[in-house]
Amino acid sequence: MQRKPYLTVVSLTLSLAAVLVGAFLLRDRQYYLVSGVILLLACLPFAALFRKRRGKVRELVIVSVMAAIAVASRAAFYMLPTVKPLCAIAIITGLYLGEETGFMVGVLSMFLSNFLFGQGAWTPYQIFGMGFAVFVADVILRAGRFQSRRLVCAVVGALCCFAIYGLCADSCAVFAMAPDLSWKSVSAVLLTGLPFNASHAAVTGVVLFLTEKPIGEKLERMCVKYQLFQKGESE
Amino acid sequence: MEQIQIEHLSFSYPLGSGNALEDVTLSVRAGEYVALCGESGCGKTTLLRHLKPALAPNGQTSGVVRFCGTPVRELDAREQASRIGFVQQDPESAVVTDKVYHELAFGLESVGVPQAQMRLRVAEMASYFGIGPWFNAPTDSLSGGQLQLLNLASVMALHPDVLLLDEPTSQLDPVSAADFLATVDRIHRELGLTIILTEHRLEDVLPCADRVIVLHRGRVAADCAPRDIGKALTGELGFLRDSVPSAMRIWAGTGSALPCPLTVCEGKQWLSDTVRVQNAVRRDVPPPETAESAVRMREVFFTYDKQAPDVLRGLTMDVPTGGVFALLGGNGAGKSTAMKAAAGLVQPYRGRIELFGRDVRKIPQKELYCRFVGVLPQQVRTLFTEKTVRLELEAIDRAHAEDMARRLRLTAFLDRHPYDLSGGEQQRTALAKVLLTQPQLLFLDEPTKGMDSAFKTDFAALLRELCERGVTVFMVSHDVEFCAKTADRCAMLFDGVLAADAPTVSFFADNTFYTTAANRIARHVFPDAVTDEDVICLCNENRI
Amino acid sequence: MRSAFAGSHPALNFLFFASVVAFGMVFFHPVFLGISFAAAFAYGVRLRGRRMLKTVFCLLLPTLLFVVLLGAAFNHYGVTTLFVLPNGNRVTLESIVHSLVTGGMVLTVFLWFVCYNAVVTTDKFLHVFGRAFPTGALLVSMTLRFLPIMRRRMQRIFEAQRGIGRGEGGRLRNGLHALSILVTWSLEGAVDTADSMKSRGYGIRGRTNYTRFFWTRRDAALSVLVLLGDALVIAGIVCGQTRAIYDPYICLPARTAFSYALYIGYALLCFMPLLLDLTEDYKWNRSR
Repeated sequence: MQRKPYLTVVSLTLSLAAVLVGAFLLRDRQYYLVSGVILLLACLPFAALFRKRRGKVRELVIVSVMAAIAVASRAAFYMLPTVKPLCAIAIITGLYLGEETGFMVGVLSMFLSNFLFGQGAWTPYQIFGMGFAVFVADVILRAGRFQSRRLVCAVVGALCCFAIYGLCADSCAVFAMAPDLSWKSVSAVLLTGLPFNASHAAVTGVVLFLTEKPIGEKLERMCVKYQLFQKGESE
Repeated sequence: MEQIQIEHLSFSYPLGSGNALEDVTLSVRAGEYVALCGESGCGKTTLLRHLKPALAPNGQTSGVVRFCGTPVRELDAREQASRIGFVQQDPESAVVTDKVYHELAFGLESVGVPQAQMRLRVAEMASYFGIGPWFNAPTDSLSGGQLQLLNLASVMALHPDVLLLDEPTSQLDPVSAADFLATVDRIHRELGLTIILTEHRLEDVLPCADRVIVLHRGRVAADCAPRDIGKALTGELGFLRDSVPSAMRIWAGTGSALPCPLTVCEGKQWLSDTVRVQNAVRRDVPPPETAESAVRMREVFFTYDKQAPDVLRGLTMDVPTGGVFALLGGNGAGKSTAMKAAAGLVQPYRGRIELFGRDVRKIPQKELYCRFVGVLPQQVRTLFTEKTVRLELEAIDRAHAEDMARRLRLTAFLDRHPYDLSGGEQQRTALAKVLLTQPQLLFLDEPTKGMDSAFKTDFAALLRELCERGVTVFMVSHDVEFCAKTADRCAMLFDGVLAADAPTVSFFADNTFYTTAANRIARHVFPDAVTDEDVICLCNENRI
Repeated sequence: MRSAFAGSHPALNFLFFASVVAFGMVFFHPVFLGISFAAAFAYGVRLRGRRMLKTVFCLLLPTLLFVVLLGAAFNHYGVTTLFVLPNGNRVTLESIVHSLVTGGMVLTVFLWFVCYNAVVTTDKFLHVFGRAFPTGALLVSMTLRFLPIMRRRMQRIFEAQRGIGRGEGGRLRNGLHALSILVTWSLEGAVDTADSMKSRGYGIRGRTNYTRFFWTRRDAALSVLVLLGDALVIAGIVCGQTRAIYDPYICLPARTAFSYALYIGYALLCFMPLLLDLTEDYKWNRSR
């Protein structure tokens, strides 16, 4: 699953920019629809990941298992309803198994949780935001070889979750609800989402800090034992 | 015609010591039903996987396996996927998709069968295996037995010539296991498929098989008709003694000259011919002394969901202090729930539960699960948290870890990862972990599931040893034979209440169906004989 | 509730929802908005009954209120001043109507998605996208399979850990601890699952798709109708029939015969599933 991460980052950033530019350029409040369409188009290069992957079957199953765990992890904290470790688990997976794997786990688990809790106009924004946030966090952390530096992981993960996922998910609300795209009204909508985003990011940080090592070790053991996710190898 | 030929196959794992398979030479003719057996770790799974190149383990291989004359490794992917079917041990992880119909079609989709033909094959399989009623159901709603059946049907949809089954019933309860093996037998009889099945529970397999191959330490120890196994049981195949059907074991134990019986029915006839028929009198069993109750349940009601029917409906039960108490019952009778309620893991909504006279709700959690109550769950993997067995044990009690490892014969694996151990070793590690909390009252949930018979004997001895140290054991089990051998008192739970509760011997002597094979064989002459040993003993005393 | 529309081919379901959601997102014209809202609401009630009403009153009306307040607070254009706020800003009729329309749009789209979630089940979704994204569809199906297993395992892990006295570490710690056990356990199982896929030939080129859905003539006819409706509405957009201006004063396009045809066409499009259901109900009742 190792290809050229930087190219992917660039294309992700460009597509995000395209969403915003497209939204601002198109007046007459058509940006609600337009942004959604552009977003779907932006996902197309990544759709290739899910189209026909030439990977090992085991790697595919692991992506699916980790995504299921990420969604089910909510149940682990059934007594603490605000704790949703989905983002953290996707980041840890990507940290050890490659950023594209992380991206896939993030997208897949967000998609599934949207299926379970109901889809809406926000679905593409959330999926895109989650994938992008996980991907960027993993690229930064892997480039700096920050595996097992859990404080760094927690901070980077929380920031990516807050800035990227929060922005993407809330931009849906902005496009739908803000009376116009003036700075004042946009910030008003974003402010209402702020407490939620901040708590989500904080949880992501805490979960990353506490589980980065134990879960990471297990993923690593798996890779070594069954020789998975090795560079330059395909079946 | 020789369909599968194995010539001088030897194999060793990359890190393993010695060969897992040692110069195995075999051939299997088309349409044969072969049971491949041996102790755990004898190489039977390794051998079976060599017949299916997609699953062949990594390591050093020499020798060749031929399928219809061509070496299996040279078969193209499509051909080997469809012509050689493989059914795995654990149905839960073998089922891949979320819907039954999709799972049935999975193999067909993979090998690229066109839509119209796929529809026909799926329809055929659903009808043949009786899957119709749950064809559109989510796979998650199925029971273990149904999942394994689905798994088999999904492999059969590819129209294989050979069906390989790797301990397919080890994760199933006895009733589903017998059903599953009956289906396999039906496939063999009606479709003439070649079947190679590994199994450590031989009761249900031997009567169906045409041929038995016994592996021992990677070598072929015997290759004969099922009945011939009995003859060798006192000699070179002694290690199989605990896994063969009761009838065969009793026959071997008496050294009879008549032909070896395989089933209960044959065993019964053989016994009538062997012993003087008595007029089936039961000895009086003195009522047991009323010991203090370790667990006292009074009219306990429990349900998992307010809308759902009650799982326990006024359960009243006493578990005497000391000794092994076994709670038996079918699937979904509420056995595990009763155990969890007794152990304080779930709260009943009505009724009273006392452990050694103390209300379980009033005991603080810290006190309850430390030096008082220990629970060994059904899935022992739920207990493993550390990187090595040593760390697992030390996580509970550093001082006694070494000692406990010695007692449970774990010293050799102390530095291994718990997941790299075999099933029996994992079970021992988990038990060691639970015992390190020094419980007075030990709860066991289906402890013998997936255990091979050699380890069952060990395990029974271990439980007896614990009892001698004053621990009370409360066990929930499907395994009638194991309970008959190990327990002091048995009870049967049905529909949320106790249907029977008696000392082991009278419990099984009173039941007609729900009893050990030995008792079913001998009840017309020795109604009190419950275990194979009882029957052998009485047989030898009452020879014609 | 059994629905004739939900029983038709997934591709038709998708085509319909794509049309109404897209139109729902762009129309500011109150008539179009009203038609779409009424249709979504009526079909939602048909599909989900009482629960739909609950969703609308508990979740959607507060959202609408929020949007209206937001609009009134930030927009001060318009010629009809209703009153003046203490800080000197005017609250105008135009800005309130505009916010109402915006909120109505959000509401309508949301309601259409409620219907969508009831009609498009996972296997329909996988059928539509399975061909284009075979790996993705399989991943979704597998994850759906694993999800309940993971939940059950999580429950067992909690119980098992309590049973050996490890249930007293605080909620967050216990949860994370259980999560880490779950990862190890499930990753080992993943290898078995992969073996099961390999042994049934997964990965061979030329994979086909099994489907339970059939494209019927009725599906074809209905799809043509939906496309015709789409074409009519798009023609309306091109002719400027759907424009609405709220700044500085409310201005709607003049009504002509074409406008009325457009209203009827749009209504037929939006109410299509409900009409289909009612026709089927009628036939069913008569045949008894």
